[in-house]
Amino acid sequence: MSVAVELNGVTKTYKKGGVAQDALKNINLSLGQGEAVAVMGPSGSGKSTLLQLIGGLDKPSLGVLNVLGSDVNKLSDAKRSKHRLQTVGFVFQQFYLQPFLSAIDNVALPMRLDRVSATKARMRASELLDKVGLSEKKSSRPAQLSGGEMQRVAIARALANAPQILLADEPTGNLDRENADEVIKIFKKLSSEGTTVVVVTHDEKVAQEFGRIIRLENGSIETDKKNGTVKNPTKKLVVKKGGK
Amino acid sequence: MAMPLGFATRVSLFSMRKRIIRTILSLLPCVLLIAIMFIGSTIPNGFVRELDEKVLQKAQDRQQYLVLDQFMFSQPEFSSATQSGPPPTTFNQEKYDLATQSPYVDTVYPQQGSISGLASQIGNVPNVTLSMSGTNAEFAKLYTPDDFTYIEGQPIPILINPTSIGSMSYNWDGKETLEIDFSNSKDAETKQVYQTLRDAEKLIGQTFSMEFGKFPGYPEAFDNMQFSGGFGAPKSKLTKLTTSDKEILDKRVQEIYGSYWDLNKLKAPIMQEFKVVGILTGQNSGSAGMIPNDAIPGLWNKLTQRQLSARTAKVLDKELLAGDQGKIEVVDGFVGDGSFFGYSSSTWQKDPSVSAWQVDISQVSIPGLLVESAKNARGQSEYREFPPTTLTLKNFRKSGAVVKLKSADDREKYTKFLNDNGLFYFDNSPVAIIKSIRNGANIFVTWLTIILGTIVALILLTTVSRFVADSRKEIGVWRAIGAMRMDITKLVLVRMTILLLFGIAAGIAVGYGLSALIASAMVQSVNEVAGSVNPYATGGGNFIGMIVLSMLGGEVPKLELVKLLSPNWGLLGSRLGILALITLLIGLIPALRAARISPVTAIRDSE
Repeated sequence: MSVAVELNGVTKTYKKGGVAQDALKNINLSLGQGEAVAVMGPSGSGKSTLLQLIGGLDKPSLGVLNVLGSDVNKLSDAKRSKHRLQTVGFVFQQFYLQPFLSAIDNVALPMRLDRVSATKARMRASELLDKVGLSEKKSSRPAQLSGGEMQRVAIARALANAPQILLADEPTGNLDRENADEVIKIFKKLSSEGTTVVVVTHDEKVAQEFGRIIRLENGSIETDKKNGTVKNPTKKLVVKKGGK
Repeated sequence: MAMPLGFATRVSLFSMRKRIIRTILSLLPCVLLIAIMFIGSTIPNGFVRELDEKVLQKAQDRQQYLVLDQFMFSQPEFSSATQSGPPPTTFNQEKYDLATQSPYVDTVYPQQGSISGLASQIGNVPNVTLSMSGTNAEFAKLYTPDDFTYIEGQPIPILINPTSIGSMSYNWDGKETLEIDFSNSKDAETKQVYQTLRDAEKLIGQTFSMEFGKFPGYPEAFDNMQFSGGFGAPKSKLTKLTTSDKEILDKRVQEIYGSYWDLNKLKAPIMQEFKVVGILTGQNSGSAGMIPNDAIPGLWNKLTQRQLSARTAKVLDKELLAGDQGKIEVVDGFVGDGSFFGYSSSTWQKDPSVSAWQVDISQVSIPGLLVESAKNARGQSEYREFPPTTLTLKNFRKSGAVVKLKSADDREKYTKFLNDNGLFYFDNSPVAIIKSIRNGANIFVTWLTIILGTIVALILLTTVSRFVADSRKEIGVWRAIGAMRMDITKLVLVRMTILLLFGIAAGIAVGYGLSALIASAMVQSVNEVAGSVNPYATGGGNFIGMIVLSMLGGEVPKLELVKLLSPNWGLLGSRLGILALITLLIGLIPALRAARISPVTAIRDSE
């Protein structure tokens, strides 16, 4: 399995109220292509920061982050936009669909941002909606869809530009069990097709569905279980700096 | 690589649908301001264009001619005499030469003005039909040097100043007395009727006979003025003359004149034919009419011949006139005080403290004579002296003048030259007035555009800034799914442009509606005074009409609603273009601010 994402000594420091706080501390991590990874941990443990960095929403303060062979830290703002547009796909807990656009237009949106023609974009959006099982709801607006349906539209949107990495931030947080299972099924299928899937979740049951579970605590990797085996058992000593 | 513009527009339009009410409300002031901008580019523009079309061309034909009124060259002569009325004046030859020998002047046509009583004369001319119209071309043709030259035996060419032709009369409505409270303008309005010469140009080319040297007629009423005390406006009590009043007046006139003249002969009308060759509006002239100096001697002779033939006593009996009343000086000779077409007064005063009617004959043309003109409170007589005139035909030749300039373009320079030399001349020619109206309109609309444009831009800025502040999360999501900074900037600017276009479209629609209302009111008011010459003609109730009339004198055209409502699209377009440019430049502030919103905001709250 080739490496899709590699973090080498990555630290992310935020300034909060004038005090520097490490959201992530010296993270070393490698994600393979087609790997399905669940990231867990309590609030403030750095899960979302990890997702932001991989997704190119933000830059690490220290260390090297390689995504598909390119050093994200060194990308210009425009290049990082392109990275977000073409290399990664985002799925959010709140779906964040454009309420005034139909399902198909929501899915077509990233393609239109990539200057794909309207006709082509709609054609592909239609295929993607078929894939997530929403063939019947293509022209519905978000308000006419259930939570599960909205999240599936959001997944289809994330897949619009055929990204190699799919990043999901609590994708099942607003869904019932049945819909959550449906979403997990889609993620697993994507993973089997070669897309690296990284899902941040609170839900132990959801996490268990993935081949690898990374647990974060205070910005450090506490455990990294792969197929039931702990890959990185050493818990590093955490020195709290500052504090509130 | 950024998103296509069409897509950005579609997304913006869709997103605005969500907050349509809020968007419309936020646009309301903007719509109103653009409406005002529209009105500003429509009505002044339409009005100036109407003036250009209907007044300017015609007026330009006359730009080469200027009337130098004889009052410009008169200097009042102050004496200790107990005279009433304006003091006599002397002619300032030096100033006259300065004005007429200026290098700008091509030809000088000496003219005699101050033709009083023309209003009633023209009104009574039986053979003048006002149906014939003097077209512009005819008028231009008529305004040639020939028009200022008198040929003996022909009708005297006369230039008419319709602005000075008007008469006030009372609305008796079958009543014998009228009480007018001048402090109440409405009361005065209903009882006083102002008549003025309308469509004066229709007189051009007309010939009419006019009586001059007319013996004074009787007034229609006596006026018993009452002052309301302090500085209050007076009240008048007018009493109509009765038959016995007229008998008393007859007797009085007989007493004054009868001893020396045969009254019937003195009253014999002297008729003279005149031909109207032009009108004097916009010529800074107070004269009711002007005739060539060359025509004066003939008229003068007729007048003196009548007085001579009516004389019954060769030598005036100074003793008799002096009597026990005191010193009366009688000087033999003839009097011409300029107003030799006679004098007519609508009211005479009646002093309740004396038994006799006091007749003010101060302006009647009588050969050199001192006559009792009034009695004071103690019953003593007051006298008015009519000195024998020293005016000679030579003096008449140098009165006023019509000058023809070498070029119409010199008019401004020439009037400046006059003013610089103490000869006050306010050029109220329609060309000058229209020029100042156009400049005024341009300045007004330009400032309106600048001020309103800034307000519109600020309103749009506020609206869009609020939109950006409200949409931080949404923008973050856009960024997270791959939108570049440039895309966000584009979205905000597109949104601002859409708002502006909505504002412009709605503003033009509302502006058109409001313009139609204003224009129709303007058309109604202005057309009421069109062709009229004097602001009094409006009766005071027509404010717009009065302003336009006072600006344009006798040159108020009939306005057409359609023409008034035609905006200057080029001007409006360029102004709206500037507005759009400013708006988009200002719009860059929220647009760039929006582009700086970090994509991290999209998933920060779940941290």
